Amino acid sequence: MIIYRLQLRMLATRGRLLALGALGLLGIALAFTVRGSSDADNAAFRLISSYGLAGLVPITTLVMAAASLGDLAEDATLVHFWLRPVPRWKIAVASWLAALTLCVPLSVVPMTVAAFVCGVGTKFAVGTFLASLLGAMAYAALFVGFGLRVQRALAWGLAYVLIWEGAIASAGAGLSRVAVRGYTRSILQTFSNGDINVKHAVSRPVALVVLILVTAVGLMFATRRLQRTDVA
Amino acid sequence: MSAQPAADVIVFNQVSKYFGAVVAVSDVSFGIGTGITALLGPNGAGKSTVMRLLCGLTAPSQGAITVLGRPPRGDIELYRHIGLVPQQESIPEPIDAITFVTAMAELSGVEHARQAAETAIRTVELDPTDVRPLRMYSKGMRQRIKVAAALVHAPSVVVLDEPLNGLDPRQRLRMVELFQQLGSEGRTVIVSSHVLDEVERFGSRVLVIADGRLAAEGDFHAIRALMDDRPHQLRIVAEPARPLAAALIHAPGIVAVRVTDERTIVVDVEDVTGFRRMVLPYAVHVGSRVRAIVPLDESLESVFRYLVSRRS
Repeated sequence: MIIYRLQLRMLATRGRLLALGALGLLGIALAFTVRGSSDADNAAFRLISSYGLAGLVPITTLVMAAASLGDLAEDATLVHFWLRPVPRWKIAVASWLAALTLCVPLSVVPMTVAAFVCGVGTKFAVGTFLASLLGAMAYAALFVGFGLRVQRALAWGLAYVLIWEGAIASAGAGLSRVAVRGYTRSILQTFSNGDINVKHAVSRPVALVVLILVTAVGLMFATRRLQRTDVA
Repeated sequence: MSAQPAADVIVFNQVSKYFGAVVAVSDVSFGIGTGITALLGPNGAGKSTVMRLLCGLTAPSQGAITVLGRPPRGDIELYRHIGLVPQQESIPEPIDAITFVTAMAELSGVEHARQAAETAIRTVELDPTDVRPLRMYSKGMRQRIKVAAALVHAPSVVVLDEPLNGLDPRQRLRMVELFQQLGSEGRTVIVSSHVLDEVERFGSRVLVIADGRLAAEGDFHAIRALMDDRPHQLRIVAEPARPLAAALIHAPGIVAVRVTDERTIVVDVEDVTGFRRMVLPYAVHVGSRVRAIVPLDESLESVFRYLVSRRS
């Protein structure tokens, strides 16, 4: 709990909050262009899927989660937390929770509001909330350990989000199985109205289980990195 | 050298640490008991690596380390008994001193964390009610907050990596007193420094580390005597140089003489003071005029190099 509180204070810098907050507001503004359009169901799905699940959610989560332990390791403050009798999994989970706590108001909530603004029904907004939240949980777990493992994690993480998840993993059924986005889109589809066709979609229970598993594996990786890392 | 008896709180037994092809610590063995021990060596000698190894922050490539009888790498319960002041200035910048030190106390399982934090901050002569974020603290204040965070849980092993950096003379004096007090309370205090005079103030046992190896160990006076024993190198500017050099070859206490140009002689002598007294009569005798006598190897690095070469 102490590490969670400290992480929150260290992650919530004005620059991050303003930049990511602006991106969230932009998502809501874009939703007004969808509202009332002739093919609102499809347009709303495209907006939430492309801007939210493929952009705002992973990028916001990357910025917060990669910085949570990554910044501490980079500026050599990690040693103060590391050299204390605290189980490593608690440090990893507290950092993940802190990143998630900030990602919910900065990405999950704006996307849910945007889904409401699209005017295609409460069910779609609930689906958006669930898909964004599960996506944020999984990405945050992956990026906490990633930040500790990789130098310049933000740049590499962006390359992962934009190139791997955005382009390569959309290319085929096999590759989409190893991208978080494939599962969040599948969840969103099951809450959509009308005839939304998502390529290589999986069922809602499968997507739920996979995203929770990815979260657990990500946190285990972060814990292992903490145990094995050389602390400066 | 073999490991020290079991009474030692910290034991290094043939420890080496490589970072890729770089050997940071090479086959080092020593034991440290209670009281203050100073780790002396030039920058880059491997002192910080030794300190990181003994705190478990990095694993040894070879050999074994125990602190309070347990290997420090991965034994998180042991961290309850270790307090480290790392060399880096870094502290969490957005938060204030009392929040930081209280958090460190809570993480270490201290029962009345806030109270312990206030005491620790006052011990280093800072104000626990100061609400400024740590980013606004000067270098000396940051250094002292790190000391407070390291001591807040009353550890039995205190590891201080260049703790006097950035402190003014009065603060240095206060810190040295504090470390001496910790040592006299029966704790194991290990302090690193690259400044010989600083180590003298601790009045402690000294381990000299140079080029990643243990170059010497003993009390400060033994180390000082060892350092003073080495040949000293001096440059003499004299006109003309050659007759003086020829005369000095047979003078007592001279180890070597080289003429480097028409005006310069480099001599290795056993006793600098004796040589300075002796050289002028020799110069007068051969008709040379001495312009300058300059010590060439008074840097600490040269002293360490000598100790390493002597040991190997």
